[in-house]
Amino acid sequence: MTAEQVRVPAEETKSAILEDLKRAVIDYNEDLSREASNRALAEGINAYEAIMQGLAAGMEVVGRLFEDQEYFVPEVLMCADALYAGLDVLRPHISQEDSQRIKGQVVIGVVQGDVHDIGKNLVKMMFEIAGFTVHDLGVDVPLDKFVEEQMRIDADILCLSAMMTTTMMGMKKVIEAVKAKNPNTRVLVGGAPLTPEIAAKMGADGYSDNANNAVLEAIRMVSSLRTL
Amino acid sequence: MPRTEEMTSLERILAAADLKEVDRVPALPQHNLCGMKWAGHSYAECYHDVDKYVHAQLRAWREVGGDGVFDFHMYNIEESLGAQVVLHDSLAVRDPVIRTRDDLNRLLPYDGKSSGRSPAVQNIIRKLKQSTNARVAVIGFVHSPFEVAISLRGFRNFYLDLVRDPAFAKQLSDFLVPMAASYAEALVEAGADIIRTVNPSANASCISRKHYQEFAFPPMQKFFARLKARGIKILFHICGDWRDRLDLVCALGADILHVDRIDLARFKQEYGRKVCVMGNVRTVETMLYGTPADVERKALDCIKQAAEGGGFILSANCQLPPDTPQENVKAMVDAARFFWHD
Repeated sequence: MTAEQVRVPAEETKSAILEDLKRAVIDYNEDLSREASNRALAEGINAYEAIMQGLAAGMEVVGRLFEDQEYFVPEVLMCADALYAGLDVLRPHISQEDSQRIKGQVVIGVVQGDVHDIGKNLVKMMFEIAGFTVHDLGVDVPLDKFVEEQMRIDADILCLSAMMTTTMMGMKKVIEAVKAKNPNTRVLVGGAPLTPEIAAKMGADGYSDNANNAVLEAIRMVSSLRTL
Repeated sequence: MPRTEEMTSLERILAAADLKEVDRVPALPQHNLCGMKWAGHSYAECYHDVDKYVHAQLRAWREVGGDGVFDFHMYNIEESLGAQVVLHDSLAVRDPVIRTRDDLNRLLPYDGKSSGRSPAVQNIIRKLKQSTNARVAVIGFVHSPFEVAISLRGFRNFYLDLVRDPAFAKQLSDFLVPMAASYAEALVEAGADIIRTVNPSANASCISRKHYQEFAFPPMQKFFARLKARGIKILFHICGDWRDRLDLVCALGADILHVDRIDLARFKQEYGRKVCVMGNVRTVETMLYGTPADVERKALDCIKQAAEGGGFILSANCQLPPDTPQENVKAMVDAARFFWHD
C-alpha cells in the first residue's frame, strides 16, 4: 500500500481543490488545471472523483454558459483545453476499479461532406470523461463506414453529427442502414440544422444540442439497452 | 389567377433590393442543389461539368419559376490558394492550409478572374444569363473573407486565434478581402446581377458580439465597400442566430439580407428602411418535410408579415437541401405569384 492510498484528505482541502479544478475549467486556466490536479494527487484525492467532481463539473457550468450565450465557441474550446490539461495529469492515476466503470462503447463521427468537428469533439470529450470508450471516425465519414464500424465494434451507441442542411440527410441513410442490420443500436444525433422533431423523423433515438446533454442522453440509452 | 406581371424577374429583384415598389412579391427559392437532384445529376457531376449544372438550374427555374438563378457555389479562393476540397453532395475544405503565420507568405498567388475554377463559374454565369435573356436575376456566390480565413486556418485554430493571436486573425481576414472582391468582380463582369455571400461561423452560436465587432464585421464591411464602390448588389445570408447583432449586420451595407428564423414583422419595422429582407419559410421543417399546402400557408404568413411597401423577397431561411420536393418549391413561388394585396 502506498502512502497516497492511506492518506485521507481533509474535507476542506478536498473541496477547495475540487473547486479549483472546476474554476480552472470555467476560467479556461490551463496552468491552474494542471496545478490543482497535481495538488489533488498529492493530497490523496481519488483521481476519478477529481475528474468528475472537479473538471467535469466545471464543464457542466461551461455548457450552461454556452447555452446562455455568455460563452461562445472560442471560450468553450479554451475551457476544453483547460479540462484536457488536468485530465492528462489525473487520468494515469485512475484506479483499476474506477476505470472498469466503463458505461458503454460509442462510435462517433461527422457525416460525409461535412467537416465541422468542434461540436463532435466536445461530445467526444464528455463521453471520455464519463467513462465511455469512444471510437472517433473523424470528419467527412463515408456513410457505409459508420455502419461497418458500429457492427465491428458492436457499439451500444452511434453518434452522428452534421452542421449543414446539405449534409444532414446523410444521417437518415446511416440510421436506416444501421437499424436494418442491428435494430438494437441506439443512434444519437446533433448539429445546427436539427431539432428533436427532425431527429425523430430521421429515425434517431435521441437528439442533443450540447455535449453535456448528449452524455446524459447516452447514459439513459445504455441503461435502457441493458434492461432489454 | 396570377397577377399580371409588369416587371421582369430581374427588374423585380433589383427594385426590391432598392426598396422600391414591385408589381408582385418577388420569390427567390435557392433551388440550385435540389435542382441538380430533380434533373438527375449528381453534385459531383455538376461540379465537373458546367453544362450539366446549367441544364439543371435552368430546368429548376422553368419547372418551378422563381425570380433568380444561382451559380455553382465553388470555394474558389480556398481551392486556388491550395486547399483540398472534399466533394460529395456539397463542398468542404478538410485540412487547414495555414498552419503557421509563415504559411501566409507561401500561399499561391490569386486572381479572381483566372485562378482555380473561376473561369468555369464565369462560364456558368454567362450561360445562365444568355439562356434567360437577361430577364432573371443571376446570382453569383463568393465566400466572405472571414469564412475563407476559417476554412484555410481550420475552425478550431481560427476561433482560438481570436483570443490567442488576435493580430494574426485580423491580418488573415484583411489579406483575403481583395481576393474576395476580385472574384466577385469577375463574376459580375461575366453577367452576375447580384453577389451572394455568407458568414455562418460568425453568428451568435459561434462568437460573441464583441468578437463579431472586432473580427468579423471589419473585413466584411471592407469587402462590401469594395463591391458597392463598383455598384455591385449584395445579398448577405445570415445563417443561424444573429439576433444580438442585427444592428451591426444592417450597418454592413448589404442590399438584401437573407434572414434565418427571425420575426419578420419586427425586423421589417426596425430595419425595413435600411435593407431588403429575404426569407423566411423554414427550410427543413416546411420545405423539406412539409406538404405543398404547408409551404403555401407559411409563405403567405411571411408575405403578410413583410411584403407590404416592398423591400421583401420570399424565400426559405437557408439553401434548400437536395431532397426538397419540387412541388414544395413550386408552392412557394406560386404563393408569391398568386398573392394579391387586398
